[in-house]
Amino acid sequence: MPEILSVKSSAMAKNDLVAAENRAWFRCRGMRALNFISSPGAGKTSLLEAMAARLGRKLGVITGDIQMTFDADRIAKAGAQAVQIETGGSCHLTAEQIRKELLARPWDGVETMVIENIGNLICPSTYELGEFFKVALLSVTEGDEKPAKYPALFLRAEAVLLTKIDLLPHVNFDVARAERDCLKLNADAKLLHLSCKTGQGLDAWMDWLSKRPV
Amino acid sequence: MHEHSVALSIVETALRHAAGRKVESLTIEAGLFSGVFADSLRFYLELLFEEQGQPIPNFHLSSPPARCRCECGSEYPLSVVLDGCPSCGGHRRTLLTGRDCVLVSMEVADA
Ligand SMILES: Nc1nc2c(ncn2[C@@H]2O[C@H](COP(=O)(O)OP(=O)(O)OP(=O)(O)O)[C@@H](O)[C@H]2O)c(=O)[nH]1
Ligand SMILES: [Mg+2]
Ligand SMILES: [Zn+2]
Repeated sequence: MPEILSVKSSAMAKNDLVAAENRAWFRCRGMRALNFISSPGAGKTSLLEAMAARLGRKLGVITGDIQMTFDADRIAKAGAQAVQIETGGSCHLTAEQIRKELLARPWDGVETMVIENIGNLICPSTYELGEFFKVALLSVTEGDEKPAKYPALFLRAEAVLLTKIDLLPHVNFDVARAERDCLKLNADAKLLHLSCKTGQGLDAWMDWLSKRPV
Repeated sequence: MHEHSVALSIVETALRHAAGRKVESLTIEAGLFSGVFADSLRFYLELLFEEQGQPIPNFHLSSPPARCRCECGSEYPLSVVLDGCPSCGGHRRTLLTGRDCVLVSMEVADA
């Protein structure tokens, strides 16, 4: 007779432990920490450049990419402290990768740390990195059905930024539908419209971010 | 694609609990909001057991409805992500289960 063992262990348990350590690390230093998640090219780095122009070295960024691109260079050039993690094919960042980067440099003067996750709407959603909250970026060129299609992310995102809003006249994107679905998944989600091209919505985003209790 | 790392974590946990005994079956629940697709998970689980030179156990994989508690007080199972509360139609709810992919239990051969 085989023996039945009750296990009840989450597949995320190990990652979650390290994420809790990272969260404590941020708290000790009075840093706020965010996790940016979107499909490839939704505008994460562009928004971080705009934030860097305002926050300078008070902004820290850890950016993940499957292969060497130049996201960290772009963000550093715009004035923030930025480092790149090359994941070599993995589809999401892990808490362990973040921990290494936190310990590898002083991050002096950083008040806001943003982790730019790998461009992917599924895999990064369930890997806690130690952030205080997740921000989903959804560009209007991607289609208004994305929140319904990727509920794991939109359930967890505390803020949803509709990006590239300047392109709205050129695409069939039903803003009301996308936002209605977002609120069905997370009734408290903060919804904002952004354009890094025109600057629309940047003030509102920075304002919300600075006031969000940590 | 992250089903690979999810599978890795499950296999690690299973082999640790088995402590050298043969694993005969694994019962796994992939929550509605876990972002894990059962077919993809099964593929990687088989691959990993094979890679470890272990016999492939039976996998009982299910995607049960998520348990929700609505602000109106009712508790209900949710299996269509955008559906509202069956009592009041509302969406302001607390998820009691459904976020995680869980190795619930396993069968091991007698030592
Ligand atoms: N029209 C318009 N284009 C934008 C806007 N924001 C970003 N873009 C363009 O969209 C493209 C992708 O932007 P990125 O900021 O690199 O996107 P990302 O999310 O960092 O991309 P990955 O890191 O590769 O996932 C670039 O060509 C940007 O110039 C915007 O507000 N309006
Ligand atoms: Mg980028
Ligand atoms: Zn209700």
